[in-house]
Amino acid sequence: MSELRTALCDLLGIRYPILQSGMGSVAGPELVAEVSRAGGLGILAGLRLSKDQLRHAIRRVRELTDRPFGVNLWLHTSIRPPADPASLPEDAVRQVQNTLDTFRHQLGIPSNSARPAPFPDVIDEAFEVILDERVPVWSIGLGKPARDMVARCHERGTKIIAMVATLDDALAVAATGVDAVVAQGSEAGGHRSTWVKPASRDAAQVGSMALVPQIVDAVNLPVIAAGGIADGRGIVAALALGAVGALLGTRFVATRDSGAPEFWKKAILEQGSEATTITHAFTGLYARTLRNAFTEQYAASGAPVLPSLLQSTAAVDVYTAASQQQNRE
Amino acid sequence: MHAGQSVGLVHDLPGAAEVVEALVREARAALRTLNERVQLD
Repeated sequence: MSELRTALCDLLGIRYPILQSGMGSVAGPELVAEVSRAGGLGILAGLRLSKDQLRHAIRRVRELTDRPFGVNLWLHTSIRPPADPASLPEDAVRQVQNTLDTFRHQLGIPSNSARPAPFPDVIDEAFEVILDERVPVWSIGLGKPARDMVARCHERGTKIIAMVATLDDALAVAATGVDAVVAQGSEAGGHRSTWVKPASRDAAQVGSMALVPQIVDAVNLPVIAAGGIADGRGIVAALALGAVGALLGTRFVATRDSGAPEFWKKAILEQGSEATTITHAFTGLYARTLRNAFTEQYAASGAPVLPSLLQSTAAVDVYTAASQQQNRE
Repeated sequence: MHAGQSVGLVHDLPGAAEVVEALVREARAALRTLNERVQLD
């Protein structure tokens, strides 16, 4: 048999040290089960699911495979508890909604000047579901767990991996007692994994080549590399930097089992590495996305960006309509 | 549409299990060729 075994395989009970990121709108039970079935670790996207939806999704994975899998859940300070829409300045809401109205007009949907809806307060109950279901691996994005959360997971045999984008954050999560650290290089797609929004789009942006070995040297824990890896050479490079595994996102978006809409998969197949940008216009938090009319025109508008994730709830009608129309701009 | 800089390396739409299998195959091949390309003596 062809093996590719590291210490991470023993820690997580997997055959290959390959993890699939728990990406929102992408990582449903089918993708997760396929990755785990093949010997990697599939990670379910837990954010934005109600506790019943999360429990259902976990049970669906277990129907499809008996291999270990993970559930990803954010602990970002802006959603635990969620920011209050009533606290937003009137003027900021107006400027954001005016800018979003230009996109609503292009999509043929009604304009909107209302305050955004609050982001639902679901993190703590989702965590209880993870415990209750004895999920094999809890993957923490954008957050630092409290020590008692770590202890409660360990009592139930749940392993914890925590993703960070800076050396300081790696030291902070390592001190909480997590089982492994995911070092997220700036090449990575999606949100920068920090629990407080960085001061600027340039902050918390360290490439994997520089970040991974520093975190390997600093923490006495297994390190998993993320960011810029989409093939076997990238995995070998991560191992050379001292990591014991690799976490891939974009590669798994473009699979038949991913829940991403077809226009997103198509864009990934067509676009090159210069096509991405860092923006906070989608959710209020910095994330690497494909550059499109929305990212460029929003930045050019000069409109402010609401605190996370109220920027996202303010624009939810725009995202829903664009998705339904398969409009990638 | 989230995407990382590895987007330029992704050109096909396989099943996820095929991706895992290909990653293992490629990583094993890369480790072997690394030893062949680098002289240590």
